[in-house]
Amino acid sequence: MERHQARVFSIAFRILGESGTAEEVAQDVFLELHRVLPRLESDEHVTAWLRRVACHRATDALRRRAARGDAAAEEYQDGMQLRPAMRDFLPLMNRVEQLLLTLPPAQRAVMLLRYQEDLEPEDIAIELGMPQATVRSYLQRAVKMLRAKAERTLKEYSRG
Amino acid sequence: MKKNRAERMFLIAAVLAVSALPAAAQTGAGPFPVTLGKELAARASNYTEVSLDRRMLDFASRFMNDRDDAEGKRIVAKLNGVYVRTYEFDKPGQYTPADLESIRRQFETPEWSALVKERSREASDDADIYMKLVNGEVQGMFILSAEPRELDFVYISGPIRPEDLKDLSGNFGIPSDAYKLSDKGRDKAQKDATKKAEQP
Amino acid sequence: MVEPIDRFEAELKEQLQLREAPAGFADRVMARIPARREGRHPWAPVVRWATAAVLVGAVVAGGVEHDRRQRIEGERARAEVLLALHITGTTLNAVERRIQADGASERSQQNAEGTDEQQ
Repeated sequence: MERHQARVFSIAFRILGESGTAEEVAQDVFLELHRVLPRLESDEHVTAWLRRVACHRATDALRRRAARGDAAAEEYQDGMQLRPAMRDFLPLMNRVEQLLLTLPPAQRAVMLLRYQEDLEPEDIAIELGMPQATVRSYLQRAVKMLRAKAERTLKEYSRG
Repeated sequence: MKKNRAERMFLIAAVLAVSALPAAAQTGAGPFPVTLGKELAARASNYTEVSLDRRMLDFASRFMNDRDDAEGKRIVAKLNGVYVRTYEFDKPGQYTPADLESIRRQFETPEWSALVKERSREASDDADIYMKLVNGEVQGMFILSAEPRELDFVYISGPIRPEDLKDLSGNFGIPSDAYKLSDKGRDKAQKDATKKAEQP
Repeated sequence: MVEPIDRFEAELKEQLQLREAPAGFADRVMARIPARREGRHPWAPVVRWATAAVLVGAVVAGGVEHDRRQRIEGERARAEVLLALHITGTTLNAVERRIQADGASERSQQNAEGTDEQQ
């Protein structure tokens, strides 16, 4: 399990933006893995299953948080306008992780599978059950949006 | 983007669905010239074409769930069609000002008002938003965004209100204040329409 | 085709290295795993899988293949709608950014002209 825990926790943390719920989600994923393990044939299957379920469970948790009206849940439109509750978590995150939170959850998952897990778009499409066109479009647009935001952050920072 | 077998099957299903409609409703390519679309696709390193008429939107709605897709479902329920084209090019200069004009021309009619018209040299950094106004209500929207190595067109047919855009905010990458733009657009489009009506 | 990554994408990869799970994570998971139930028949999983296989076989043979295809096409249509709405959003976003950028550069130009006139 230890080989996989960093992967699952990283996905949950970067989708949710804070470590408490991320750990809960990651624990749930491993409990679920324990139940389905006899059905998974190889280590590759286990890895793919963990990635997919971690993305889905973290996104579900985000949605539940939004339904409860938690401040941090729906902060993905503009990283420059994060509410105070969200800012508390930010020092724990690096710049790219903070920028990721400005994307819609589905795009966050796709970006993580691409840049954290180093998967090709075809594989992301299979793992998340999305058409390849959607994955490519999400990636292309998310990178473009993050690049623009990163440049803006840099400018605002240098203006002081 | 190379279409795989499943995507081709889907497109065939879409074409079959469209062919079963009355002639007036057959809007397979929306307002986009088919020949130009093929030419741009041939020059593009990557492209996405989505054509969804009323019938396809209805079909898709049956599979949109009320939890994750609620807002999208509500919006498309009122629309007659959504047509999207995006083309990415390896190098600049893969499309011409005339290409853009041939698409814009279809919106340069009295019922459409230009809300945004950004022009650049060689049309390589143009942006347009047109709105169709019928009895004071927005009944269509066309967006064109041209960059040196990317070209995006969006045509929405049917009632699309500022509130719709507001609801979409955050779910599909729409900026949270896009509805303000649309509010201004509706005001401007309303004024344009009044002006046109007053002209002899 | 795999496209070459640029500096920004390299930074994304660099900053998205795996994070360690919090200390004691594995122990907390193990503590939550329920103890094996006593008295379970050793053939139970086999029987369960055999039953499931028979059921799946019966369902497919029962002629629900059409429904399955319909569902796949429906899911694909749903994905196309969501993609179209997503592209609509990002295209609007791009146009709006450009308008704002132009507005800002016009304002700074006007300010510069104003300063020139005052001088």
